Amino acid sequence: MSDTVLLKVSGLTKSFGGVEAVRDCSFSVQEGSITGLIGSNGAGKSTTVNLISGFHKPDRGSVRFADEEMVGHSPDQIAARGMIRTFQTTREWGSLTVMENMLVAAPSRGRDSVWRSLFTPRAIARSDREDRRTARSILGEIGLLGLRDHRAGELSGGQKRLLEFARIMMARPRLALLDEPLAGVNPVLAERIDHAVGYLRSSGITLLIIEHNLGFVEAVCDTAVVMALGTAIATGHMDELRKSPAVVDAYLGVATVA
Amino acid sequence: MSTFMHAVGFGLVTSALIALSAVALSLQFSVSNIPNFAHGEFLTLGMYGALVAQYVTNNVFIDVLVGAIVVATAAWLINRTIIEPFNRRGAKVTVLFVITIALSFMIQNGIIIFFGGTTHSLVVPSETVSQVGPFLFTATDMIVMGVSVAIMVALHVTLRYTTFGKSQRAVADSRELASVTGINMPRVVALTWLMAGGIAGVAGAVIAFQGGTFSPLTGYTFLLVTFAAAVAGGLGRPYGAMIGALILGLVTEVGGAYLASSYKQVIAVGILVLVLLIKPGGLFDARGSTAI
Amino acid sequence: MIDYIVSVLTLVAIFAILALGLNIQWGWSGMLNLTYITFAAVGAYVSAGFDIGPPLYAHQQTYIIRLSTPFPVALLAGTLAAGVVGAIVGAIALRRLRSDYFAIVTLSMGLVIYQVVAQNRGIFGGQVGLFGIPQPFADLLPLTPQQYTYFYLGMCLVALLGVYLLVRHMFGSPFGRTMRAIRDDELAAQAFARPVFWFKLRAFVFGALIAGFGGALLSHFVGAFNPAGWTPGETFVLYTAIFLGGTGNNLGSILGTLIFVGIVSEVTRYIPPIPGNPDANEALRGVVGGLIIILVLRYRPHGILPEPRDKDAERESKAGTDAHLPAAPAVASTT
Repeated sequence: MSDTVLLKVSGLTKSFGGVEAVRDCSFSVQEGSITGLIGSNGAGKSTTVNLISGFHKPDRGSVRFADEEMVGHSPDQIAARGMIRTFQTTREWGSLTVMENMLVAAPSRGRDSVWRSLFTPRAIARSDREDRRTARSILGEIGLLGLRDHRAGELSGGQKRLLEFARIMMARPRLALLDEPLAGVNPVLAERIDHAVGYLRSSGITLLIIEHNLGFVEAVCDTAVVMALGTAIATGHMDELRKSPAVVDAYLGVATVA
Repeated sequence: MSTFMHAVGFGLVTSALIALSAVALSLQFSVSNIPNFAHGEFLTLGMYGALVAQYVTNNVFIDVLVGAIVVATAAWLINRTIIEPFNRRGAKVTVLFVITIALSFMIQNGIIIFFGGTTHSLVVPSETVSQVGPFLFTATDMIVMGVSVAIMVALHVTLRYTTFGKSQRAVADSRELASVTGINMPRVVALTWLMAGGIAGVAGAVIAFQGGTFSPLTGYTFLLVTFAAAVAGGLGRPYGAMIGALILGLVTEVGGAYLASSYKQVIAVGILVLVLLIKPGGLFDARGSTAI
Repeated sequence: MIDYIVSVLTLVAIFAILALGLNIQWGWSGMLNLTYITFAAVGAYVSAGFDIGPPLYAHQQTYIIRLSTPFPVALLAGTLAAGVVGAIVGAIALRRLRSDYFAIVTLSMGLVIYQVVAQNRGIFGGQVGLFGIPQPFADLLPLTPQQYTYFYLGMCLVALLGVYLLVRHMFGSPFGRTMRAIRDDELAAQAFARPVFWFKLRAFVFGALIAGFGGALLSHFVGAFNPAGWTPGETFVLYTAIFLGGTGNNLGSILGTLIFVGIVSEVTRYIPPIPGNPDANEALRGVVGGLIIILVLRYRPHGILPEPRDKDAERESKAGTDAHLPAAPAVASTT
């Protein structure tokens, strides 16, 4: 892990109908790290992810990603700069096969333009073959290769989660925002998710993981950011955070009981 | 009397007609969450219901009532036999919308098969014209506005003061919450189709009486005007639909008086497109749209 | 009898081309365009306007353009004009709309275009429309009128084949894949860096171009074109064909057109008419069409031919040994 800051969120504020969901929230993510974003329900974690990824427009504040301001860009522009997010519910392209999901997830570099599809079929076919090879090896690593010709909508909940990791691997972003990657996953598959996280990290993708499951965060994350009432109240290693009275008050005390 | 006041007078009558139609559409949408493309054909069914009744009696009120009963029954049956089974399997809104388009074509063409594609007319009671303030209204105009106001009041009382009306509003606000609080959702939805169908039937019959003649396509030509009023008022808000109807009635009649009258519908859909693009929540919507 | 079959088949071929274009918009991209036939009408009118000459008598017929161009120029002009109108309508209707609102906006804009064209004699002849549209290549070919109908059928079948091959290529291309992904889940497509609005607009224009192409073939087949030829009912016929044949499946669009336009509609035409009700037979087509849509969605939502599925395992075994090479490390997607 280097000391470069890849993502720097400062003073982020957003209210819906007069209720401040996120207020003056600031934290940063180191390049190459796995950072957890934790906090109780309603702490504003998901809104924060939506703000960072451009799906919501913040009222105030800034999101700097790789030294570039992201606020004001659309979600697809932000994604094109190398920040890919997932959603709390899996959002696979259901009628496409697992393999096609992978091919769409690959960085497009303008390849899916109408003109190129029409007039440079050879170049398209060549890059398609390359992408398929890459996708097969990723699916093999994640354990979905046997299902590659199944429509993604037919997969089980846990398999859909794994496909999500595979798609991110395919997209090769610099930063991936994982919004509750364990939601709806049965404990048997949790191990494979652990494995998938390790796989993403080993290929140099920085991760920001929003998660309720503290055991998981403790196991995989280098640092964690604790959110409460719409703002980041503490940052550090999990064992430090456990000792912080403010954090325990706001969140951990409740969560460890539950 | 000036062209302008004349047009405003027409506008008020048109508003009364649109209001009936738009309130029915909006009420049904608020509870079922399906934009009903077959709504125009509900109006048409009301017209032909009244026509059939007129073979038996010339009593306008009975004819309108028959129109209402016909459409209420049809709407209830459609929900029961076609919409409900799709809902139970969790069909997407787009699929249900396509279903209502298919229904629209089936009903429209079904009416052509039974009654022919030509126009029919309803016998209107003697037309005395009376001066009301600055406006000239025929007896039919007065009845139309009277019926419209009466239905609006009745709807208001139902929504506000009856248990059924309260459960309708609860379902409209949040389906999840409503089902948790023990409201029998399928029953509320079914009765709403019945009720909205009844109002649409009244609207259709009244449109036919006021216009004199009608064809199997008359209801369909009202569809986009109705959508325009309902959307301007915020689709799914019956009270907004009333105000939307007033705006649409006045703007189309006054605009039509100065432009060619064939452009009334164009004015209406112009309003519809503008509202959908600029303020899709309706003209009185305070909230912004959210992405997720 | 043979003349009748030739004429029905020509109509089927033209409608199949139209269905393929609509299948791009609705089948692959999930855009419920309720005024698709308007783009066919643009192609029909503009192409005819290009190759009809000036009227013999000033009062006879009024319309714009009148260039007496050869048919290929007219065909190209009609196709492009439909694409331009498609770009304008699409750019307006696709602004942040849920799918049912999008449908209503397309219907509304179609109605406005319809009224303007139907009410103004000076554009394309108003209600009267255009007539005396020249038969393509007729002056170059020494054919009897009957032989010409075979020729025209042949031309339409070749056009259909060409459009089908083009559309099939695009379906499996990265563009087609992205469109289907957007249809399945727009937010996820955005999250993977796809500008949804622009992609939808491209697919919308692509479909409109094909509509214009088919529309040009239609008006030159009939020899006349007026507002009765592009009512919402025609769009509905195409949707019925697509739902029946299999939404998203290009071959299905052709099959559905063959069944619904070629067989069902023709059969309803020959059922003994109800005395005093000349409209009943045509109306029966609408009732049957509605019924088909509802029954298909209820009992066989994917239609006769479901959307084709990518078969990567087959590709891999065909490609042979290179399949198991380690993946080349991809470059991070920074721009």
